Amino acid sequence: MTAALCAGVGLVICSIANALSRETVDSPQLLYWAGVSLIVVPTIFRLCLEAPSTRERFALVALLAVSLYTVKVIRDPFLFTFPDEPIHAFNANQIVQTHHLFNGNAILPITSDFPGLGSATSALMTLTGMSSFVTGTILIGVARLTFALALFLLFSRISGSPRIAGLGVAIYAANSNFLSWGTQYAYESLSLPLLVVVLAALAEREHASPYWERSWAAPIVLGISAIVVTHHLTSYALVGLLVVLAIVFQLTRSPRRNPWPFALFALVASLGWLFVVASSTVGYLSPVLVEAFKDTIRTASGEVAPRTLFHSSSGSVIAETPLLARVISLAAVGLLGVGFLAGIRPTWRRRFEEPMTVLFCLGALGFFGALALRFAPAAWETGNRAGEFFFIGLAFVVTSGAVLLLRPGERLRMRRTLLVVAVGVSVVGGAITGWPWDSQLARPLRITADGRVVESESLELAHWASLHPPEGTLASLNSDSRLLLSVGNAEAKTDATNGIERILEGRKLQPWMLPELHRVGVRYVVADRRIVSNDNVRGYFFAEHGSGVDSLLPLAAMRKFARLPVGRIYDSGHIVVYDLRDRR
Amino acid sequence: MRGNRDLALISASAVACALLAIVVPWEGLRLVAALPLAFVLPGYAIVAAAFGPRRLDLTQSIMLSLGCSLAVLCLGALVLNYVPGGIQTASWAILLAIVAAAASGVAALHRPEEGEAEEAPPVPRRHHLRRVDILCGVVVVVLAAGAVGLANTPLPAGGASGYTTLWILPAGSADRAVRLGVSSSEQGVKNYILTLRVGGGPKRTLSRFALSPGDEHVFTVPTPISPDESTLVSGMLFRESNPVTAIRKVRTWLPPVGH
Repeated sequence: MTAALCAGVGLVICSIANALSRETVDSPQLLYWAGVSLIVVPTIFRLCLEAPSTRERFALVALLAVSLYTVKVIRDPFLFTFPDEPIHAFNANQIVQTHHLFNGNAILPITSDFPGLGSATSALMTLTGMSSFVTGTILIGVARLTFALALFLLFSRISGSPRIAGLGVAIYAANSNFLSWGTQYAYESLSLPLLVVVLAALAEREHASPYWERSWAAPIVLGISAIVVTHHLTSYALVGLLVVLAIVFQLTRSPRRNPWPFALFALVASLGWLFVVASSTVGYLSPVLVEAFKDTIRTASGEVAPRTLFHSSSGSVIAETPLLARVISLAAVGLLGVGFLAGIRPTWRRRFEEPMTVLFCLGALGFFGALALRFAPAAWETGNRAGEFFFIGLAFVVTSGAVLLLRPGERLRMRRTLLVVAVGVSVVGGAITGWPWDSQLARPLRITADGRVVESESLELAHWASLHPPEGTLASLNSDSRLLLSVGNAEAKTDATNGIERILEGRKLQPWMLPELHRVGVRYVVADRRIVSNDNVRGYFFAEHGSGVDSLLPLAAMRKFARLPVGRIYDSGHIVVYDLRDRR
Repeated sequence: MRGNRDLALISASAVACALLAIVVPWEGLRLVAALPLAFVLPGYAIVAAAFGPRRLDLTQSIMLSLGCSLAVLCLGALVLNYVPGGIQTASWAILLAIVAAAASGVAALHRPEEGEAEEAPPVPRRHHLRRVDILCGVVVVVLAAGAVGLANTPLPAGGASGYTTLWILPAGSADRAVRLGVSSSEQGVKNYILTLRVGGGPKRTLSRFALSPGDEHVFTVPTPISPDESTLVSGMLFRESNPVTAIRKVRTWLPPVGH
């Protein structure tokens, strides 16, 4: 109960820190991290003790997952502002409006071909009448809870120790995506928990008597099917995991039943979905992966400079990561490395009795490989996303090493304190690594002025578009497009794919630009002078006096459209909307 | 059906929740019905059907119920996409209720009479909640609700840059008019001058007005239309303190009469 009370107080402190940040008060970051620590540390301490029952540990990991998710909800309490969230919210809105799936998506078309998240959200939206934001937030919250509980059962079954299982889930929270990226309303946030449910069910099946093995097949097949229709990369990762597991079973001559039928089912289902429904996946993923591979080679050979850590690629930074935060972040990686070294041998030793431990060891190794990808400019995102999967193995391996500190003997209290601090530092350090320092806290999006509520320029445009639906497609930069899509319910194109970024940010109107806009069916151009408007993390909020988000594009970037004989239908200072059909 | 009280309860709850979600107009009440219908009942019933006479322990049961329910939600719309009417409140409610009831029925068929269970469920040790535990739970919920409530409360932000918006749209093809809207998201009350120019005509002052933050004025202005060519309508917004330099400019072309 103490842990729960501390978590409650921690949430209040996080909320106060966010409120100060929204009020544009300087540096409430220390308060925020104190709040996060208050949520995490007492729970870890309790999980380290011998006394709690299995059920209490189960409740503690649930508490940890739900309270850390609430930290994200406190940051974004009324609007999705993480990069992929508005895209998926639009998909869910479209399903509810059209009553059908596969409606397409102007920003990320592939998301429409994996409708699992939209399907689940549409269920809640139609049953409750609530918005995609409210229902999506609830859905991901339940998914996070399921994730923590499934991971607990998985680790508990493989280790045979609820104590290791509880601590393992706490160490998984040190994954850099746990507090931020992994909590966003996006298809991976739903598919990853389902993947862990499948793994937990497989582990339970392995330990079940032959008579009950068949019973476990139903949840496993259901889980695999749901993953296949929800997220491409998770389904391919699942196929890989199951195939490797089947091979490990064969190599270790495990007396238990080989899970190859599930590997085969997952492979056939994924390929079937890929070829029948989501054939564009190849075109979407292959350039990303190929470029990541090439860039890794180029970086390793010294052909290109490595990416600077703790540095945003967008160039629109409000505040750099301070030295102490960098140290904590690097210390977290160091501590995980120490835990890995301590845990890899005891884990590997159990490969014959528990073949799944081989997967965990491979995952732990893969994590450090993925970490190296962070130095390659075009590969860091691939490494960052892969880290979420690899961390399942790493968390188990590190926990196997960490529990060595909890063996009975001299100075147990000191060793336990050391472990609690180490895990706490790892969780906070992971969270610092996982999201830009200047965006950890909420920025002003909806404020009061003279006692009245007003909203940011991007959000105001989106609301205007919802009240006055445009009669065609808009072209705009990243953040504007996302809000136009999710709040404005308008068709908005963005990105460099159609040269829209170059068209909107360029100083001069080149001869190819208007024909290109016409070719891709754009009727309206949203010219936004804020450099931050092309930043899908920072571009949604109010401009702030004297901060990095106040940087502007050259005036020529806006004036190039003003000189055209086209309509200029909306002007809020930084944002101007031109109607290309108005040309005389 | 002795020993199947849980399944009977699941079926009845699923039907009741589905009805509530379809019939009741209040979002809050529908949410109370939708949460178990979406996240618990189908999964619990599927797990019961899969395991028949075997009772899982509480942790396994919770994890599988949530996981299977999520899977049903992910896959459900694929079915509803191809039924008449598609994805709607009633179709989702009926689908989830059918899944829960049908799976409960299958589970009931596989369960033996009470006392004949092939694998007896482990008898859980009863944990009686103390008053202090309940009180702490309430305090935690209140704290979390307070934290979310504070997060949802808009606050003044002195460092945020305010702005004013001006827009123009045709008022409708038959009306031969334009609508001009001015809204303020400034930090305080501001005074404005709005001017309009139609075709080659003179610029005329449409209005002088003050706007508080959050206020919007919309002007519908009849405009003479040329019978032969598009008519350019331009609006300009000035601060009253500086009537020379326009702070916002908009324009649109109205099509010729009969276009």
